[in-house]
Amino acid sequence: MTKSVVVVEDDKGLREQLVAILRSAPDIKCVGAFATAEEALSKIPAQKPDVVLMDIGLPGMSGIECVVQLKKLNSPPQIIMVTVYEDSDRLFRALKAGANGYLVKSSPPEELLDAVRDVETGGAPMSSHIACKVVEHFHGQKQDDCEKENISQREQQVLSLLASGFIYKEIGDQLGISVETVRSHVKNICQKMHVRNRVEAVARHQAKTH
Amino acid sequence: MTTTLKLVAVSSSLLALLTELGMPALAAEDAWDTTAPVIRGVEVNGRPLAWHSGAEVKLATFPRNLVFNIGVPTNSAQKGTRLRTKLEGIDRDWQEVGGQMFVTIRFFNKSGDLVSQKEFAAHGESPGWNGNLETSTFTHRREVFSAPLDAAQMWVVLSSAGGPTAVGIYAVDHLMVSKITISNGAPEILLRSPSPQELGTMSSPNQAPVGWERDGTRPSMARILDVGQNSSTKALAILDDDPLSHAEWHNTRAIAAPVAANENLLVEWNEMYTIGASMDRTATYASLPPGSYKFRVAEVSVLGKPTGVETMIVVTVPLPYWQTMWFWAALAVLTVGTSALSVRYLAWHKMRREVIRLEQQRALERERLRIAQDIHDDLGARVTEISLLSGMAENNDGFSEQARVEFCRISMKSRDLVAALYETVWAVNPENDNLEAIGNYLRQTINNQCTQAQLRCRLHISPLPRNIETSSRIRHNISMAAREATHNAIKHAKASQITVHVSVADMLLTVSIQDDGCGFDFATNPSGNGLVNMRRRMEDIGGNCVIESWSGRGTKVQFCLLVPALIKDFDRTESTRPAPASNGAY
Repeated sequence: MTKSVVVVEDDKGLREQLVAILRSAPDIKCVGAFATAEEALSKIPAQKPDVVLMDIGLPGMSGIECVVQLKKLNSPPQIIMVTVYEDSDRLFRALKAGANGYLVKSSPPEELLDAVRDVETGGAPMSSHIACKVVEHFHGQKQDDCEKENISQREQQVLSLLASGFIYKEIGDQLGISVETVRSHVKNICQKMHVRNRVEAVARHQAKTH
Repeated sequence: MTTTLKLVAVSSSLLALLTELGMPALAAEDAWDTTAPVIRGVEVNGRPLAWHSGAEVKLATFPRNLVFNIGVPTNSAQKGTRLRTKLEGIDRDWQEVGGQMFVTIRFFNKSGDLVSQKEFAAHGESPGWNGNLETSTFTHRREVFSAPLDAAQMWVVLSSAGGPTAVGIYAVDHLMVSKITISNGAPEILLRSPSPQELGTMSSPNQAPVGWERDGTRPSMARILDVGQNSSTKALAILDDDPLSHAEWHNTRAIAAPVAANENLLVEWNEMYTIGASMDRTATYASLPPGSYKFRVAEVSVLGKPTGVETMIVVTVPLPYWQTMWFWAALAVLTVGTSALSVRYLAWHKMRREVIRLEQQRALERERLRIAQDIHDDLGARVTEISLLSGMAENNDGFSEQARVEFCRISMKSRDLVAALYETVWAVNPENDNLEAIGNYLRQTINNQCTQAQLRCRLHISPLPRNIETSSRIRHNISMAAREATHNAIKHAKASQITVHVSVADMLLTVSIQDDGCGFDFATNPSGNGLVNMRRRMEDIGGNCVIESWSGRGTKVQFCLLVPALIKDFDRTESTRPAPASNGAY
């Protein structure tokens, strides 16, 4: 099954390179490339791509804000953040906003394509320093919080192993589960972060209006 | 005839005095005028004080030459009232100022002219004086003197002529002048007063014994008075109640004693007296310490008996300001206030300097951030583009195997370059100027290095404090040294796992990177470039670097840095390099 992909990247050279890499894969179809978040927001609802490669630092509306807006659509696309540097703060905020994964732009083309292919099942691997931030994020969770917002024991184990430098395969070996299961745990963690963030945002909004 | 006339002239007060002495009053209807003594003024150091009668006298601190001007009321100035003063707090007893009576020896020459006189004064009260003539006792007195050159005759005089204001009573008994001879024989008596027996025969106090006569401006005040319990014992006396006149007893010319020049003479007599002064006069005090005093002026009778009439003023001398509680309180308040203000000022000044410093620092940070942003946006994108281009070319089947290998190398090199660029961007970003950022960055960069090299990576990074500020230079040196150590482990050690420990304990930041590789021998590999670099980087920031290697069992590189040094270096804002704290641990 062919995946439709949209690229949002303000740097012309990089945008063209990313499009070229995507086009090199037969199972991936690049349906659009935009320089700004605003342009992307006006086109994407009609194009309904499967995946969006979203640059984090965009002029005008930021990539993170764009993720927030895209995730409000009825059938939101999977979003992979692309970044020149692995800036942990911004990547973490993007994940909270609803991004499904992230990728360093200078990654080898194969990695980039694999990330697009696998985004639904867990996307690109989460690295140690992001995992560390996620651990911190869930650190103060309350026991009576909704299941949907809280990570499970197993997810916690996966996160702390990630933070200690373990790769997916090592985690699988350690916990006696498959790499696919690890990947699925990571995906769920990202989703829960997103849910938690949304709940918190609503709470903040209510506190402000009432 | 004369005495009778004089008696008529005796004032009413003298009559009252005689009554007091137990003599029958001739005119008893007259009584003491009870007008109180007057304090006319107070002077300090020659300057009169503005002061209202009856009010408290408030002096300045440390008054000098304090003078009270006192006197009897003008309408009773003739009365002969004696005044005594007492400054309570200073004087223990009542003070009798002025007023003297005398036993005088007068010398005459052959022509009968007065040539000189020798005076023996009496003042105040004699030791045996008891307040009245009946119970008081005589005190013996003797004086030695020599006759002047041209003396031929001498008289003995009992007189109140010393000062016109003198009032009181002076009774003399057994007065005798004798010549002191060199031989042991009895002294030759030249002159003596009438004996008590002779005086006892006097029926009237106004009679005069043989050889003696009254004199002075008011001779009636020279009297023969009863002394002691026995009324037959009489003595010559001056009873002076008139401040303006005087009286005398002296021998007549008939019994005047002949004397030769330079003759040594002895005069001895018994005396009892109470002598004071009347009229205006002054009481003087050289100085007065701080305190509250009562200056009392009491009226006493001519015989020194208090009449109960008295005037009093209160005199206060304030404490000098440095002895007052107010002064100390004010001084304390002032001191506290001044120091508080100084402290506030200094604090404000320090705060201002701090604000300026922070502003400059913020400006520097903004500039750093701008440069960082530029590098990030532009250079980073270009290198990333090269990486993507070479990555594409690497996968292009149209290129030869050789070219694809080269493209692969370009791709990897540019990825390394992106990582190095990121390191720089991270180091200069002021948001990362804290210890926590070092931990996060080491986690990220070492993990990436290991992932790319497909090496197991174990990170034991304890949470580092965010509140300890860490300059970009220190962060840069630590991160570069750590990357170098990791690179060495990947490149040379043939390791399968790298273990990283980062912690802060007792303000000591410790970063250790250990591999399980082949290790190396310092003897055969004394100064690999990387090792030298790591040491230099740690030396630059005042830390140290310990490298341990066990052949076949791996290598451990450990960096240590005292955290206060981090803060100190931050304060200096990278203007100077701290001296390396070499402790010989290399």
